[in-house]
Amino acid sequence: MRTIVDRERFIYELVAWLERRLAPPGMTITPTTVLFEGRLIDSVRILDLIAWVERATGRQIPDSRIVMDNFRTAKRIADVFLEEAGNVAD
Amino acid sequence: MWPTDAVIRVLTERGDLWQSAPGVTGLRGSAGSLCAELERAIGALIAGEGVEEWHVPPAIPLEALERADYFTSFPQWLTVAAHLDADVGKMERLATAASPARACSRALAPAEIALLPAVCYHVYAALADRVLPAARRVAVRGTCWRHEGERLAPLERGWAFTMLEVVCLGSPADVEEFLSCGVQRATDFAGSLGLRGTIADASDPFFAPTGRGKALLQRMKRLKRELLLPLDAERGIAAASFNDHQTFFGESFGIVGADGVPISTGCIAFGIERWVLAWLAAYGPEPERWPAMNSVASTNGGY
Repeated sequence: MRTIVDRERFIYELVAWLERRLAPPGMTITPTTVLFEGRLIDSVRILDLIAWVERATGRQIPDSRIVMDNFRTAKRIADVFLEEAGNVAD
Repeated sequence: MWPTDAVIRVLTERGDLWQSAPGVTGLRGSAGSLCAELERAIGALIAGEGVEEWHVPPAIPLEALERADYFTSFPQWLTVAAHLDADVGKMERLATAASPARACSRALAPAEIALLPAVCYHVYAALADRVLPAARRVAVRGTCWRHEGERLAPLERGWAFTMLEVVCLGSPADVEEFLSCGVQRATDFAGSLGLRGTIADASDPFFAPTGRGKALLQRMKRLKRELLLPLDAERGIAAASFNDHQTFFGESFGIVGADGVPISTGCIAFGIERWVLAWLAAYGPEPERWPAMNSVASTNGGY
């Protein structure tokens, strides 16, 4: 997987991955779906999600940045971690 | 502040502290009285109107821990209890061995129960597969066993230690109110002892391979907080923890509310020996220097 620099592309690919990996049948995930409601994220999936974001941004995420607010939605993940990686393409 | 290693050395030299094995610590004299007084005060803090007091068995079946997912979460700590094998030949060989104490481990029957790793497991096991029509709060106490290998240290990190717990079973709102009230009451109680407690987010040392994910999720959701009491200018000790299990135990043990939905649970746990150590770090090992213990808890108890 190559580093993603385009914000819209990042969100598109993250949502597609979340739908493949997390969404139960019949559920649609959007850029603003709250990821920590219900049982979407468990102890294995959180590690997969972090790994996906690290691969997509090309940067390791320190534990101190792994807080609920930074992972609330796909859009929020892009806002926080693309910005921090300095990868955002206008 | 008094350095904790100096405190432990003074108590040991005085004979007020001794270990029967690493991490299995006894107290007597003024330190023993202090431990008993703190246990009484914290017992009063967690008791009160609407709180059931249970006297739980000192060990728990391995199946109950399996149901609690213990073996994937904290197997590194588990201490089991085994009796001698009933085989007469084995017992005769043991009795006539040059050192029966050293030969003992070869004469054990397979273990079927564990010494308690936390007292609250008994509450979920006892209420398993039941309907709870209303919220309940249960106070339990006992000796807990967690073998932490090289990390064991007298009073600070015991293989065996005294735990007082209060458990809330009910709706998510019941648990949230219980925990937020408990954080305040425990902090106030520490203040009444002259100990400046701080509350910090925390996570449990879950066992690999899913340990990091469990710990991260626990911290992200702020499911565990600890009351830290100072041991010196830079170091604190977790003397109480406030744990939101969400519906984990409700689901694991089949405990549901009147609506058939798994109940939420939370628990507040106090490690008594750590309160003793924090007191000794603050006031030193000489009892004549100790302030009178303000027993606000005994008059304002109840979660």
